Amino acid sequence: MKALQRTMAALLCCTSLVGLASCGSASDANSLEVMTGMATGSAQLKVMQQLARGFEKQHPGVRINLLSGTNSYEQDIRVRLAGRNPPDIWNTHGWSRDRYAAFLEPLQNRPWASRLNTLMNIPMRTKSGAFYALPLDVAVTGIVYNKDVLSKAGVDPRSITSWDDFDKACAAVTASGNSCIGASGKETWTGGNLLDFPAPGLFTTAQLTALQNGTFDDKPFRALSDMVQRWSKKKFFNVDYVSATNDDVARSVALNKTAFVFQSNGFAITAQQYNPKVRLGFIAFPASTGSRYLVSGEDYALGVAKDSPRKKLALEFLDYIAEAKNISRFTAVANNASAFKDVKSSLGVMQSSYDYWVTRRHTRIIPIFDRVYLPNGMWSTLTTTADGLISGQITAPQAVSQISTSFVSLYRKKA
Amino acid sequence: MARQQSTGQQSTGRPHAWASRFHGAKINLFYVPALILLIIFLVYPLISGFMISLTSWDGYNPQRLFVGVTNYGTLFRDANFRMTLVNTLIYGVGSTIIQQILGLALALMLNQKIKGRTLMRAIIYLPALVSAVIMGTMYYFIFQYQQGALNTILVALGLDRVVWFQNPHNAVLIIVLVNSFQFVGTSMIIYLAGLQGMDRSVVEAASLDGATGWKMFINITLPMLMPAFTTSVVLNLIGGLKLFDVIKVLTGGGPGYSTNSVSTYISIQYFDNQNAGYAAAMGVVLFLIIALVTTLLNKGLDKLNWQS
Amino acid sequence: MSVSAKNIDRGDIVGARQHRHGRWAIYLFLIIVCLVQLVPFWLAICQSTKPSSDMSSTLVPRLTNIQWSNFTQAVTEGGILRAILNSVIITLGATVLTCVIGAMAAYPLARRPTRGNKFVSSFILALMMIPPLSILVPLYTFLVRIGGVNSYWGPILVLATSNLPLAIFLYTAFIRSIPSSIDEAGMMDGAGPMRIFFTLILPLLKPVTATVVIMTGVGVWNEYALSSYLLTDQSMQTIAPRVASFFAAQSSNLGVGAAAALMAALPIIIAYMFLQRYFIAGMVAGAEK
Repeated sequence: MKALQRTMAALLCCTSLVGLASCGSASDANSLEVMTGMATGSAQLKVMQQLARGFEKQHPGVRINLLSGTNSYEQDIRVRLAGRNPPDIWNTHGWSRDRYAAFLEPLQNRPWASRLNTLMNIPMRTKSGAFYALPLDVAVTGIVYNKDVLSKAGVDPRSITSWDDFDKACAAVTASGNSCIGASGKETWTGGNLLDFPAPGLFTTAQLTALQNGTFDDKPFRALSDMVQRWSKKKFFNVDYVSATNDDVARSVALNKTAFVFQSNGFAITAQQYNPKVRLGFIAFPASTGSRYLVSGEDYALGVAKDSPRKKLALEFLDYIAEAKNISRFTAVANNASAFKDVKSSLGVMQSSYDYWVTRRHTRIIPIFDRVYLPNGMWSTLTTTADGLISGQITAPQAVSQISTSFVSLYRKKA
Repeated sequence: MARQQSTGQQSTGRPHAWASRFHGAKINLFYVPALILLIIFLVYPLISGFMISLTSWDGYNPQRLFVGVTNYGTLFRDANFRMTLVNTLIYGVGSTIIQQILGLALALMLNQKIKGRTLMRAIIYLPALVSAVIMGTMYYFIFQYQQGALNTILVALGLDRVVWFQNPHNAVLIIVLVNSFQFVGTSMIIYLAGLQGMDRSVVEAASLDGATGWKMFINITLPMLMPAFTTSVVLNLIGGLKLFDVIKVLTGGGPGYSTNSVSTYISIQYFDNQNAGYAAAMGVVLFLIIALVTTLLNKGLDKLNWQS
Repeated sequence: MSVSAKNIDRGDIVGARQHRHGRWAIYLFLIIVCLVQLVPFWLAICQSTKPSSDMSSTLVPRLTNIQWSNFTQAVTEGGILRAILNSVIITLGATVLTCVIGAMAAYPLARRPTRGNKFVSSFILALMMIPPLSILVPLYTFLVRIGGVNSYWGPILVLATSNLPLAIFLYTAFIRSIPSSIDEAGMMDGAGPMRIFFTLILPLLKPVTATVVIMTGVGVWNEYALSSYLLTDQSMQTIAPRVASFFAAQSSNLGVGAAAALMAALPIIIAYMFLQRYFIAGMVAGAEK
């Protein structure tokens, strides 16, 4: 009992000390809060840390407080917006224009705006030319493949020009004992991409315009759902789809056991973490309407809170990051296309594919389907619908009706 | 004065009527600080959560449109909500049953003079000391497909790897088991406490009457453990019905919606589907369901107590 | 019935005479359950010895060439030591607050079971059932308004409050088992309720306090859902959100994550070892009527 008494005494002493200590810490006018959405220890966060230290050196007395990301990044920023307490700067993770524009400072008049290339226009600019975040890179995405898995199955990736070719390639990969498509049932966005990226190649221009005007057409969505259902029935997905994390998918690709993933080129970094020698590339999406294409999306991009009391300082920090010598350091680790004219893209293992499709063949680059043609909020429907199709919980007709219901109700909400 | 003294000597168990006269209503001031904290940090947010449930708020934009009880109406038509409700009851009731059986068995064994029992008690309680998010990740290492512990053993035995979460029924079962094992230590401790608080004289008397083994257990030990049973059941049930982290880490609610609990479904609607108003309505309903189930159970167990 | 720490070593109430082979079966069963409980920790230890490129089975540790950098990285990049300090501060603060306010609140609820107080009791118990998600956004908004975000006092008050219902439940049960003659004796000496509670009752609450300390302490130490919003500044974060930041959407590092998780669990396990003796004794009242 003596020991317990002493413990209690110690507890009381400590708490009184804490009471005093906690009075000291408070945020002040010179401290910027930056929500990065980047994992602790990741290469991207390390570069951000270096840039922050550089800015602090130029501006004595200023402190840049970088917050690392978690798995629930989207939830984190929503709660902060709901609490009317957004960080001074935050990573808009793909939604600077379509979701967060009302909360962000327009940036088209910053001195560096003229140095941006046209790639970022597609996902980030409004029709009037405004944009709301500094793009640290731009995702230009095709279907990522593992060279060794394909060559073991005797498939030449450049021979895949239609979805039928893709099915044949998958059959060959499956026959050679590997998985064809890697996706994670726990991180359903990996499957959601399957209903999103291939869509533009299945819709006619007329169908796309109708969609934008709020008319839902079952047919192309049925074709899309049929395709995913067919892949599921033919067992083209990784066997552990249901429980796999995206990390497990990356490992499987790194171990040369999975052929394709429908993810942005940043995926290569995760795979290389497990096997630095893994050989990856990407191909453009097949299209039954129009020519083949790549999709372009906002990747890492930093926006400034419109109502931040430290807005001026926050904008200066963005200006600093946008300097060519600084932004190029980030581009070097992002493994994606550059958003600046004067900064060269650096895609590491994906570079040769990028050179082939973008530089040499001038493949058309189009925006991500759901952000242009579907109402805000549909993305989540696509992810759960894809998950249902891949895991066999729903059929293609059910998938279409699920998408249709959600489309109608969300479109009405918007109107 | 003398009267008070004599009542005092009798009152060694539960407080008697004298206490209310003895202490004035003034001592109720003792619970005022607690009530203030509870009202500020739990009741007030609960009420504003209820207010959100009457809107079609998207969860982050400033405008909130009042829609009355529409969200509650939607709940009744949402098949996914019904499924997650059933899952929630399976998680709550399933874990509670396993935890009672295993917890009681362990308590009975570890109440005997056994070598190393202090260490074993500590080991069994160990997982309850670690956060469910972290513990869930550690359990995931068991069920991983490629390198997981179970599949390693299967491969070593010359068998094929198994996808442990393929079938929704298996997945739900695994989640129940994981949750049960993580918190079985809590029930064990409560039953141990119940066993140690038992009146020795009753046991000895029964022993002199020739009661042994099962007879002793059924007629003497079990009835005397009823209060411990009530405490343990209520605590486990509340924990199981609120289950969240383990599901997030092990299956993420999939395949499809099939392993979601109401809690994880709330988070999907709140943050992914931008239906904060609807999610808040589910939160209110979940709270009422947990309160109802627990109260009914408590009442039922109390009755059982009186009979025995 | 009075409760003391001596009760702990009193065993053998049930089934006093066991058969020899029955004993062996019991040992075997207990050892299997213990192994099951230890397996996840073993896997975490194995994982923490490996670099991310090592994709061998989770069941097998690395014996040579151990990746010690997982641990140093958890400390330098993850700031695990700072997070442990923050967790210690917030856990101590919240636990002390819960014990003091909870014990005080339980006193009238146990001693004066009027209709009104019975209602207060069940009202408090009902608050135990609030799902954290349904109060997250309003609570966060409120704390932003009063400046309690990224402070120690904000999470201390919030987490102490969310643990109060359980603490009050345990304290009430325990105080009921204390003979009222003690209060009476104090009354005869002319002491007021304040003095009776603090000088006579409070010292008797040690065993149940140990229980409340463990239950509250573990709860606060591991709290994730609210802490990850109330504490966003890395220098203020507690261990649960800090460990979670190793598993971000884009890249996750299981080796460092496992190392961080093990380091984060160690202090609470050590604290438990010290308090375990009193833990069961404090539960006895809750397990009685």
